[in-house]
Amino acid sequence: MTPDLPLLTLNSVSRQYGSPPTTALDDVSFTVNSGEMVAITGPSGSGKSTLLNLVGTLDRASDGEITIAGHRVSAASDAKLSALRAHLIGFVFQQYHLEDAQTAADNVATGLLYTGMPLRERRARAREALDRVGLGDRAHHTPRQLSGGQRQRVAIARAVVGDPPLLLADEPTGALDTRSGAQVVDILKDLNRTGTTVLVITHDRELAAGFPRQISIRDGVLESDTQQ
Amino acid sequence: MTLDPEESRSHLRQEDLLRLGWQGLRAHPVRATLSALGIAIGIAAMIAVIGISLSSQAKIQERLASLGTNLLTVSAGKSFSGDSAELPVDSPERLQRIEGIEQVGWVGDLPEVAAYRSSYIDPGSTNGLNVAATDTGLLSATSSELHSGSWFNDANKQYPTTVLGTTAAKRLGVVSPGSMVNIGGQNHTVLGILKPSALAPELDTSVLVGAPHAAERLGFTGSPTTLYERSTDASVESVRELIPATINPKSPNEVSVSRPSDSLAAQHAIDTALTGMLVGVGSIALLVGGIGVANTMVITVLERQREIGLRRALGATRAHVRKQFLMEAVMLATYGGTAGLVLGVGCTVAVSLINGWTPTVPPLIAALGVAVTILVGAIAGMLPAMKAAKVSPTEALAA
Repeated sequence: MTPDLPLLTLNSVSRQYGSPPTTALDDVSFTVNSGEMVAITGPSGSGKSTLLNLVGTLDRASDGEITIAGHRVSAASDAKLSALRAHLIGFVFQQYHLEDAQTAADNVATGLLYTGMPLRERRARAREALDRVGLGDRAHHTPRQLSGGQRQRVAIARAVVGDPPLLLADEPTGALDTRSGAQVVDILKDLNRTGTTVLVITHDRELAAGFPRQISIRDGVLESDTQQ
Repeated sequence: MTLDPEESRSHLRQEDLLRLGWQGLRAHPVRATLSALGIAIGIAAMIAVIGISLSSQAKIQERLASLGTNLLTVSAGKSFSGDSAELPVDSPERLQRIEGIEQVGWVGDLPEVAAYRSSYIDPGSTNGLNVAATDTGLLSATSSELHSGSWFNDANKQYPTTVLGTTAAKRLGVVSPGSMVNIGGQNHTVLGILKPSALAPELDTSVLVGAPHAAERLGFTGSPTTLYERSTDASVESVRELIPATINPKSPNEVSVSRPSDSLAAQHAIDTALTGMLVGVGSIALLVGGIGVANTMVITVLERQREIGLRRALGATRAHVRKQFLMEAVMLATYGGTAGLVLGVGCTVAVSLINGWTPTVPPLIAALGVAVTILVGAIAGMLPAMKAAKVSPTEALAA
């Protein structure tokens, strides 16, 4: 893996909603190289969640082009975008989005469901991913039996179980106390060290300050980027 | 870093699709059971109706086969002037001359004569019984059987003896042969009691006396009211055409011929019409069940927006989401259909055993029933599944 290969490129990306159109993101451009660890900050309503949805291919830009690992998002079909999400992108959400009826291991294994991998292999990989986030001994617990910090670590394990090159985290520590939040950040940093490109969205400036690169967004416009 | 061409698409394995459907149902077992119940009732009703009807049909056919379809009954019709006609006294002998006829029996009603348990009974209480003269050939010609006692023979048919139909015996209070009953003011000894007759049910209410005795003591004119004949199976139709002219060459129109097995078959045809109607009711129940499944699926999709959003984020295509909910609807319907099949077969077996039939549920009907439920589930799940596939992942995750 070449560290300087651009993994993610945004070129004059805008996103408008509704009619009359309100602009959530206006002419944003930046590039993230493979192996970077970036914090995207901004107050609520600044457009950072819109940005994450666009980068995660869950939403399409009104204008401009996003390129992920060489794939142009605007022209891609639903099947192609789903394939990008299944193989190249891992998601971590503030509310974890875990299935309460399933064990931690099965929740993590769901991260590989749409890659077509057989169940036995998915479970084996899930076990390894849980070990990586330090929850190997909680594999058979259901989310209700875990603390908030542990749940978020299960969610991270689900996001990285397929070793995606790009990990997107939306306020991963937003619902956690300081200590659990710090643990989660440590795990993200560990993952980055082993080669995963990590993009974290947060409104917490203190948390962002610990990241090598910070991009700040305000009112849909790129305000600052520490790497320019 | 690019996508490996080999793994360049989202892929959901078939067994995982089945597992997803099953997990969806298991999450709400009570809801699943209640909404499957509608389908179950529809299928159970249809299977039971078809099964019971086929089982009873098998029994009727068995009965028809054992009783034979070669029995014809001949009775006096109407004359041109509208009066009821009479059959000639020598009708039985004339019948026997027709080629193909193997057995002949007859009864001659004695409308003026009534039967009582004893001479002390009020003459008005005739019990609706019919006293008739007969000859020895009647029993075998009508395939009637004796419940107890014996039939007339050439000797005792000349004496005051009687054989009672099953209903006649009950109404007269006679339970065993050897009792005395009062017929036309004279005591007669009961020789035997008949079993219910399928092909000649009019015998059930008959009090039969020997023809020579009836002619001598009860005013019998010798003219038969009804003749029963059996021919070879092949000659039934030709015999039927020959009978009127043979018995009454002067006015053949005064002779009417009927085939009792036809009425049994007609009875069966009525059963079939009723079955058709009940199957219609069953299919309405199935339709309502299908709507129930659709309703449940719509609610499920509304409730599981976040799950849909998450699955899309994990790489599910719209098609995968659609298939997941379609599979869930089909499994829900199949669950109901299978339960309905078990229930329907259970009803068929129970009713058949109670009636002494052989339970018959053709495997094809059972398979068809389950196939229909799969179809109902697929149709019911179509709209909700399409709605689920259209859910915007960003809105679903924010919900």
